[in-house]
Amino acid sequence: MNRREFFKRSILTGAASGVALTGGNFKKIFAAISPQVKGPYDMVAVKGGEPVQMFDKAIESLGGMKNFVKKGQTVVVKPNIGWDALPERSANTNPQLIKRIIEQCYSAGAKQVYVFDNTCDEWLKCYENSGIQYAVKEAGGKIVPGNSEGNYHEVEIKQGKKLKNAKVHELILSSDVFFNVPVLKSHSSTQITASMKNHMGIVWDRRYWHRNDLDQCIADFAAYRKPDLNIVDAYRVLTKRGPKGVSDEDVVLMKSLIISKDIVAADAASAKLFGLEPEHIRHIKLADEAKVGTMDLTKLNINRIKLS
Amino acid sequence: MQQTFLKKIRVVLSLLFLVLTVFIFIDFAQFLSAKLIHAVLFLQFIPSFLDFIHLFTVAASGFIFILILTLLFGRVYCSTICPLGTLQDIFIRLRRFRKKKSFKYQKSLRIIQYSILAVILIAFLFKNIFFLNLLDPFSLAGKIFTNFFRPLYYGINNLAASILTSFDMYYLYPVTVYRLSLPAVIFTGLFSVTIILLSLYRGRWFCNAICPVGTTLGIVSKISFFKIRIDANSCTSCGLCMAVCKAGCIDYKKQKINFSKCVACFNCFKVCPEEGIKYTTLPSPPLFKERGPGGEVPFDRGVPRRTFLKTTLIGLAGGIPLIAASKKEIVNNEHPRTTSESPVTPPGAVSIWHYTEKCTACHLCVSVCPTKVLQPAFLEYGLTGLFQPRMDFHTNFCNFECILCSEICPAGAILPVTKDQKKTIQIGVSKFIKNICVVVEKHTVCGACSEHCPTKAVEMVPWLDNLKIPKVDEKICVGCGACEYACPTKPDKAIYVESNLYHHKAMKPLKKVEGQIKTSKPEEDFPF
Repeated sequence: MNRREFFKRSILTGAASGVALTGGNFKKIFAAISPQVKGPYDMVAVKGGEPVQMFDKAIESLGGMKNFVKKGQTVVVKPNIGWDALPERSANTNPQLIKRIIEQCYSAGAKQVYVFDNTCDEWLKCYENSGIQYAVKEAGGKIVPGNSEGNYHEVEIKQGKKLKNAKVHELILSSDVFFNVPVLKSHSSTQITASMKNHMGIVWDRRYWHRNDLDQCIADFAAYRKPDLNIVDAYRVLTKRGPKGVSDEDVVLMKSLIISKDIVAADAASAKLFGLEPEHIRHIKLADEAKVGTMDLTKLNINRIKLS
Repeated sequence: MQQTFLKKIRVVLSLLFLVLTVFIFIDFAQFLSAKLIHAVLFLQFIPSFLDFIHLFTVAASGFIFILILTLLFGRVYCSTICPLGTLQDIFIRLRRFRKKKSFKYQKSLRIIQYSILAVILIAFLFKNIFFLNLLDPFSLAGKIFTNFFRPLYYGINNLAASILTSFDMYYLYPVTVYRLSLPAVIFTGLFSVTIILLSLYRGRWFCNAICPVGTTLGIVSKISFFKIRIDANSCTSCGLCMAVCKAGCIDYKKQKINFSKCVACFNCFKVCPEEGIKYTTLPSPPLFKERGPGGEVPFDRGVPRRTFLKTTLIGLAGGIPLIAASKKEIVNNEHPRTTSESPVTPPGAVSIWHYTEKCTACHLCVSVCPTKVLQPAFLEYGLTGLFQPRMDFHTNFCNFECILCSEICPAGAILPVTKDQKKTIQIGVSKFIKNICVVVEKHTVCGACSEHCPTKAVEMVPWLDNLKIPKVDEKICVGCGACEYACPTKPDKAIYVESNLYHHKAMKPLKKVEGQIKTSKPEEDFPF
């Protein structure tokens, strides 16, 4: 079995098992949705399912994809494809999840769905070995290179304390809908990486951020373009030696998914899942202080779904 | 039998070799497998020779095949396989637009030829291949392909990609020619102009005066089994053959062909109205010849002892000082200590000595390297290592999973390694310069180095005020340069790879690290 076949099979079996699980456990799923909490929700958190199944449940509880994607709109999905690593390593967003998001976008009537990342490792290898290139093509989306400076355009960041300007990929600027789909991981600089940190893959010059107070730059940029949804993949989570990872044994199965329009809240919830307090993670705290969103999860109407 | 079909075969084969070889050098999308690349480049004389003397394997025996071919039919390599030869032929064809189209018989330039060969051989005995690198026709052609053809091809691709992208189509993607090495471009440019002018005005002069492969095969072809000869009985001394002979090896007045200069292009077969030129197996002409009636020296003679002595002396005089100078320069202590003392060599290069003694600077690895971390050196290896590629971590870093350069190196300078082997080959060791690190200078988090490290040899450890700074575990560092590349400090990097002159074996990183992280379990309730 070659690599391509492996991806094909893993995506197919993933999708199949997701469908089977949903089919078999309908009652259980409905029972798990607490009747006291009513929408509209600020956040949906799902646990215990497969990536596709969890996403379907979550988006359904938010009123379905049609609430976010209107007929004829263009969508850009921004996963983390930063590293030349196979899906097991969880250095990149789960390809099954990406595939499902794109399918749902098209079902809702999207004109076109684009996927890209400004990678850290060599981009062709990242796109291929992450399994994401294949997943996007399977779903009928367009995988777009992020390796060319010419596609990034200078924007002003008005609220920025340290980051006043950045070159942003044109798809972020031109698409009607922007879905930010990070994977939750440990990170050597910022403790964890999730939604806000994932934005470093839509700008050209990351070194500037590193030179000029990384945490502040991340918080500054979070205020610039808020995604229409932040979808945090916490199915398999790299807990140590991130963000690229060294060994598959540092990966734990968390089987979780968080969706929120509030990028700070999404990261705060991610931090909690990771076992850390949001206020101890400086870029989350800075973004909260700048009122980009809130890290106080008690203020939010959260739909918590447990699937097992 | 008329043998004019030979020319057709030669033209087809030479174009095939040229097109394939050029494509190997410009193929960024990796359509061609490493095996096919090896098959095409198997017959390249110098790389194969260098590979063979190290490995003694059949896989590197291409040059022996060429020697046998030359023993049978003369310098077929020069007319068919050598990419530089075919490139020259393309320009020679342009001569038809000149007023004066015909070639003249050219005297042998043995003093130049043998002096060059002697210098190369003497240097080689001192394990120095500087002169070989400078003149190997394959590597010269490789430099032309890498420095000129490749950017052109990338440019066309990028233009097409941008047009398609504007129509929302992403079949093509832009490719970056990260950086071209200015000295290499200048050298290749000057050489290109020279070879174009030479081929336009003097045909294959380079092959019969300078090229070490041409000289070597010329010596061998003196005793070739089949030789191209003029049939004195049918020759009318019309001179048509001489007019088309780009090697200038036909003396029609004497009805003689200097076969050691003949590049086996077979152009003369076609033009001879008497069909008087063909391959024959007549016994070699007698070793001693009477002087001509005017007292002139017969031209088909062996190397006179005096010439040999002279050339050897020139070789000694030219070679040794350069070699002596170069050996000193490999380890240069005067560099500022924010870069490696010596250049870093790619995994599979074994040691700086193995590498510099084998690499002919054909730049194939520079062309195929997906990250373009391999860049031609200028004087980093010393003068005699001119243009041999080095790991340039300011351009990019070595992909942890990639072994492409080791798979394609035609000269065995980068020996084949497996992916698993590569992951423990330590080509250098990261060195941290604390005082210019962002964290220390600005008191903010950074960690770009550790983020990119594939083995986590560079790890962030607690420093002051909840900040972390990098610490290098030299045992597991492989020297891939990811940390150096990612480091944001300017102009000097706060972390750099110090070259291992001999590559070491790195230890594998731990499978699992201990540590208390209480992540939320799937079956637990939400922690919020």
